[in-house]
Amino acid sequence: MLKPLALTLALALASCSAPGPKISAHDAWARATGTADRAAAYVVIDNKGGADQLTGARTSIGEAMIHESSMDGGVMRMRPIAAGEGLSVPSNGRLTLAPGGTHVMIMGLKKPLQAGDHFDLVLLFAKARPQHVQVAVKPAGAM
Amino acid sequence: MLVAAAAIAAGIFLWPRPASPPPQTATAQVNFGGPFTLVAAPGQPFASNKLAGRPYAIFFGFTHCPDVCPTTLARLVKLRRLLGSDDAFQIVFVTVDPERDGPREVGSYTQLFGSKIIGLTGSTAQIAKVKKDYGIFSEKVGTGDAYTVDHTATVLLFDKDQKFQSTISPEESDDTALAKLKRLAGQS
Repeated sequence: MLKPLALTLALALASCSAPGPKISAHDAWARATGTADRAAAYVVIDNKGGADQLTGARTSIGEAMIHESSMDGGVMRMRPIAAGEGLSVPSNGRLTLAPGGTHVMIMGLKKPLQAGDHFDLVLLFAKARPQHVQVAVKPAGAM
Repeated sequence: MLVAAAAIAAGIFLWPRPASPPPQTATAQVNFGGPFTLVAAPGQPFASNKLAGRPYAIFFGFTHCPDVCPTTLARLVKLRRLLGSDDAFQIVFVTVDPERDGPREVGSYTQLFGSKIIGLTGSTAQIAKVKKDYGIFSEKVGTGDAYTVDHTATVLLFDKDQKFQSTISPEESDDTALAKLKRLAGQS
């Protein structure tokens, strides 16, 4: 009888010392697209718990991956984040994916995205459970 | 001198690289721009003299660029709205990826922004020449259909006489960019 109780206590103590992340993703959007089969999705990820990492994404409309745009002497370079690495979602903090920086790159779109459309995006984390979020497609001119 | 410094800061490549000692005035070697003939949607030639008479902002990108290119074009459209008139300056988009971007592709891409943008493509040789004249670097990255293109993300501003005036970098604030566009449009 005592053993399970001790285990429960130990687990409770362990989770106290390293609180898990409490992730919520919101305000996801993407721009309408033309003939190219690519889109970028942006999202705000809030964390009311311990630190975590955004490691990837999935969507039914194409192949999703986390990309980073960076300026290097006036030249814009876009690269996937390195395999096995994630973007930091700080404890009690926020990770914002926004135009001109990090974004969810979606390749192989089956059809163009039109303003007013919505699609499902699943964000994958190192610790937290996958988070589902609805992405709103806005006109290409949206900022 | 200032123009040269600004151009270097903006990451514009100074073509041609002088093999001999630089001339006395730096401005003499910074002479971005120049006439071009490219191709507009749906497939007719577009000569640069069509731009004369009104200032223009020119940006080089590609239609498979989902983040920086639409963000830059959307920003130029937004700033032009703030100037109060679509006549304030012309927005020109030139693809650095003529392999994938034909007139149809640049045409449908530039129509997405709800405001007039002149979308241009051309043969590989035409694009190579205009890139060189405008100091634009680009480089294909990756292979197969999934390749992307690193490229100069600086917007170049030309006055109504097609003379190079200034640049807008993605890192500059909207206020800074707006001040430059106001000057370009003769509003300040």
